[in-house]
Amino acid sequence: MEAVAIGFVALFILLFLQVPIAFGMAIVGTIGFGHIIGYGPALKSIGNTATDMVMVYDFSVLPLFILMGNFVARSGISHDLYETSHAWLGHRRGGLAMATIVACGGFSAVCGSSLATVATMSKVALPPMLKFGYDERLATGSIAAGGTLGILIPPSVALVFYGIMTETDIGQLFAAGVIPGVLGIVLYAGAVAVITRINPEMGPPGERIPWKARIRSLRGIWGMVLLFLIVMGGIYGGVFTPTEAAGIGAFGAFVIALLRRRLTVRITLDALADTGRTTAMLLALLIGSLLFANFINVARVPNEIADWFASIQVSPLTVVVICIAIYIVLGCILESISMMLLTVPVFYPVMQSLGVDLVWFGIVVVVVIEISLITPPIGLNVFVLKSMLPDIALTKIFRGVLPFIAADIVRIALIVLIPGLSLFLPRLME
Amino acid sequence: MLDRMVRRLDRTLGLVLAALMFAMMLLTFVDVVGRQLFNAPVLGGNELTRIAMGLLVYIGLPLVCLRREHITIGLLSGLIRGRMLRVQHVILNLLFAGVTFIWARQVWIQGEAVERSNSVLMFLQVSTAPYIYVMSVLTFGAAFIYLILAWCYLQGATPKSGEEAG
Repeated sequence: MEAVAIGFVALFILLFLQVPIAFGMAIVGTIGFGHIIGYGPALKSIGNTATDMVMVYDFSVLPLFILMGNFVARSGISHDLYETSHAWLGHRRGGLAMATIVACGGFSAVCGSSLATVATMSKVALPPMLKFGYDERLATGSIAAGGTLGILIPPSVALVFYGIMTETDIGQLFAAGVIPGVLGIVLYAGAVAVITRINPEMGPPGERIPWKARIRSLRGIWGMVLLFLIVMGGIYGGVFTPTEAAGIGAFGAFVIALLRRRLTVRITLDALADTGRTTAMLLALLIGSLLFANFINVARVPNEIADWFASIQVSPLTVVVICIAIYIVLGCILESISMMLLTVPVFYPVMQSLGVDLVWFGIVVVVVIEISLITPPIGLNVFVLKSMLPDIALTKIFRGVLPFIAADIVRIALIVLIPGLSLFLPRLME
Repeated sequence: MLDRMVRRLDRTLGLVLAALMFAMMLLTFVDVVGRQLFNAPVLGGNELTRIAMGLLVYIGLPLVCLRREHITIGLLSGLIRGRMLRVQHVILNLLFAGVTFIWARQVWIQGEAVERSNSVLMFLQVSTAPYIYVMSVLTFGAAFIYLILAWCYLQGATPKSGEEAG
């Protein structure tokens, strides 16, 4: 236990000195493992982990879904998504902000990255909101918050990682993410409604669009909707494995982007190489995290924590709440995927021994991590947004995000208290 | 001179990476369609994907180093300035070079172990050892990149990242 405590301190010192998280975890994990078991096996496990854990068929789900997102992001679909939700919601008070959130949700249904969602939607949704006299706080807050939906609504990179680390079925995790994701959209839209009810000036209503035009606006997005239905329906119906679905999704997104005449050779090569680099970076993180997990496991930390919880006889729910609190604190300093890779190896054996459903816990973890994307001081989404809008003060964006954080707290409470929200769909799959 | 080399390396590796990624996408797509519609999956498709995954990650690795895209914590990045920042860069890049060098060496040793075991993939009937050697060489490449970066910082230059140079 002391070795692990020293390990964690050493890790954080390395991280603060700007050592990449993958390297930090690999260094501390290898030295810690070597200290307990011996340096020969520790070095050998580097070679093992760095080859065997990379050349795994199921991992190709990662680059394929990322590629799907990259093609989607370059296909210009975000405009159409926004147009459509604008046509349906724009006449309400705060309607454009709601449209932004729905468009973000739709975008993240075909793209697994929060940052990509924020970067894309800020270009599409911000100018019209400001043009219609929306308050900057509401406008930026809704984009930053809407972007967090990307990490949960399948396909989700975070859920893939969680599935790999805990050996939980990725298809089940994806199915479990659907309802909490939709709940997120509803609660965020609710937050907009509350804000504009209190202060109507923040989001004046727009013109009402006739039904005919609303229906016509669906034309631009049916391709993506179909793709999402094929990919998720295929996984859900047991027709495809997640990896196969990712292959179909990536190829489908490629064809759609091609048909929309958005792909030049250069853009295609960019999307492909981008995907390759992101994959390399993520798997380097995964290798580091597995080496770190080796160390944690031989030090028997999860067992000791589980024993301790058993000895003080707290309910599993209390333990989950403690985990959530830890995530919220860690979320202030760590980036989302790294936070997950660092903590899940410690938490999941504990949860397993307490009889907690790992699919449900996965959703809880991802939603809490989502919150960290918009909370100060690091909220990554806020920084992405800020980098694209140099004229708007950071504090203004953080203030704009506050009501959405409140909505997130409501959501996490609902998900924790009503496991059925996450587990209903995966149970149907069995 | 150095910037040009960085640019060329970034572009070449990027092209290979893109080609490999495209091949992987097509392979998976053809495999699924073949299996679902014609009951005829690509023989050894699974094993091809495994090899492609390994190569994809390790071709991406030097690129990620070149572009400094590894995820770090940005919290204290503004605290160290001037001369100390240079010292920090030199030390860190030397450390990264050391880490990637050990990594590369262990992957090579792993390749030797696989070669000795004479095991071959079931459908393709080939050993994965040669691919593991390639992965190791690419990692040695990444270690070399870090050494050069350390040397640049030592000279007081701020080397451009692959993206800036490209």
